Amino acid sequence: MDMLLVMLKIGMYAAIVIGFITVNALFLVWMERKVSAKIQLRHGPMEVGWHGTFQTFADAIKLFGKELITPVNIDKVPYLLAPMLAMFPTILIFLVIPIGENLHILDLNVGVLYIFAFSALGVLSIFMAGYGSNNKYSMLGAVRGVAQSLAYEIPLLLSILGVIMICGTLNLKGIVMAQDNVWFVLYQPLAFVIFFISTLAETNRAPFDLPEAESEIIAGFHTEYSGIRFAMFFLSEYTHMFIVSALATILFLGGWNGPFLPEPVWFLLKVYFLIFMMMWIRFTFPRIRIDQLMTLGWKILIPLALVNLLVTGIVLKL
Amino acid sequence: MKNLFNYFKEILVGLWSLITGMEVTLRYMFKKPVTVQYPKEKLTMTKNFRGPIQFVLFDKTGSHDCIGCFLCAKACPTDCYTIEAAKTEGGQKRPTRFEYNVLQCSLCNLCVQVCPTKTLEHSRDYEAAAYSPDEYRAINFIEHVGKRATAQGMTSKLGKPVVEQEEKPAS
Ligand code: SF4
Ligand code: SF4
Repeated sequence: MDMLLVMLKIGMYAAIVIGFITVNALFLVWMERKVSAKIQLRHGPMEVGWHGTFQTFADAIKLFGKELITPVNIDKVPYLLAPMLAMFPTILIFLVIPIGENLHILDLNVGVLYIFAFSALGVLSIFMAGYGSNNKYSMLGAVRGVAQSLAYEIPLLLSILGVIMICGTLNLKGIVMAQDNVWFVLYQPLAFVIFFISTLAETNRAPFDLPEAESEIIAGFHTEYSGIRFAMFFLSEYTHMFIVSALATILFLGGWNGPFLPEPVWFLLKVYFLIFMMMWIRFTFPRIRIDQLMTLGWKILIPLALVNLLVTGIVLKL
Repeated sequence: MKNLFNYFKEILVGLWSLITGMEVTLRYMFKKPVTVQYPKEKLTMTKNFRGPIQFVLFDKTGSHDCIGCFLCAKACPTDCYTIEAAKTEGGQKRPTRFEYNVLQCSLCNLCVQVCPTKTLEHSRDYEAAAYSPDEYRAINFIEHVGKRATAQGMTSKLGKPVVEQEEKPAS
């Protein structure tokens, strides 16, 4: 009986998480198209539903109906495993994100560590996809993805260390509770900027979308994928955007804290505002070169993050 | 020390230029879109748009004012016009057949310039489409202007041609 209850609970959580991931991705694709259209003085999708609201549903259905093309000379195991591996960590990360004070599935006391451990897995799927596809463009994209992820994982972690030093916990709920009065973005503005830039690179968003730079290497690591396998990469990219924005909200913008409105509303408002920032950035800046990317990561973000850490440490000790 | 100063200065200047760029895109975000939802909304072309040629609709005649002088046919470098004309009841010569081949027309404007009664003009139609090129080989101008006149409630005041005096174009 107990066993059955546990199974039921797991099933329910899985349904909630996967449902949310899907709806979120569909909404974000629509939002991205709308934001880009507005910036470029266009209308964007207008036909299906109110202002094209259901356009992405139609696109998704079309995508699921597409033929799954499997190239001949691929490395089967990594090729087939990669899309699933891209999806898998994002689902797991969702388990620990607290949307409200009591609205979370798991309350880990090492939540931050958990999230970073799993989000680092994302690059593995990129590399497997690129390596398994046996295609020069895919391989180039994969190698770029790995280099980029290596360069930006460090400033990402260094920038959140300041926050963790201030509140002294790795528990996501604890971090949000510590921001009851003042959001950490006021204590750590530099860290927030570094975190935001690094997450852009981590999620392969423009202007750091080198692993899939379509004007140079077709579609990068997912060149050889079609149909639902491609959809998995797509889904994981948009879910990743949500996750890093949620993390930024929790670490710097006070999580669910806010007056008047209920907690989840505040949380989602902040998250979608950050996602909007990402889209705004995407349609403002051109893609940077790989050497500029490396310069930015190793020569600017890492030293700045270290300086920030040093100053935080000194101030905390005083 | 100077290097260090320059390092931070470069970062700040770079950051500032990024913010300027984002400000521009933000401003654009609130502008009205320049594109229209085409089949639902349509643009009107400007006066100087050179669409296919058509007859001008005159108030004074309730129709075109062509006098069948063949100057347009002579001026046309690509031989688009097939014209036949005859004297009408009032003694004025008027075309009995006026056909125009859009497929050969280069929209060069020469016929418009040469017409003594200013009865040719470029239409502002930009969505010409047909199932077969044959529909465009011989556009009947007289019929076309007649349709527009009826749509505006005008009746033609041009006299009926006197058939015996029909005149063929000099070729
Ligand atoms: S516009 Fe030029 S090519 Fe066209 S009918 Fe007139 S004269 Fe001929
Ligand atoms: S030049 Fe003008 S008046 Fe003369 S035949 Fe052509 S359209 Fe008629």
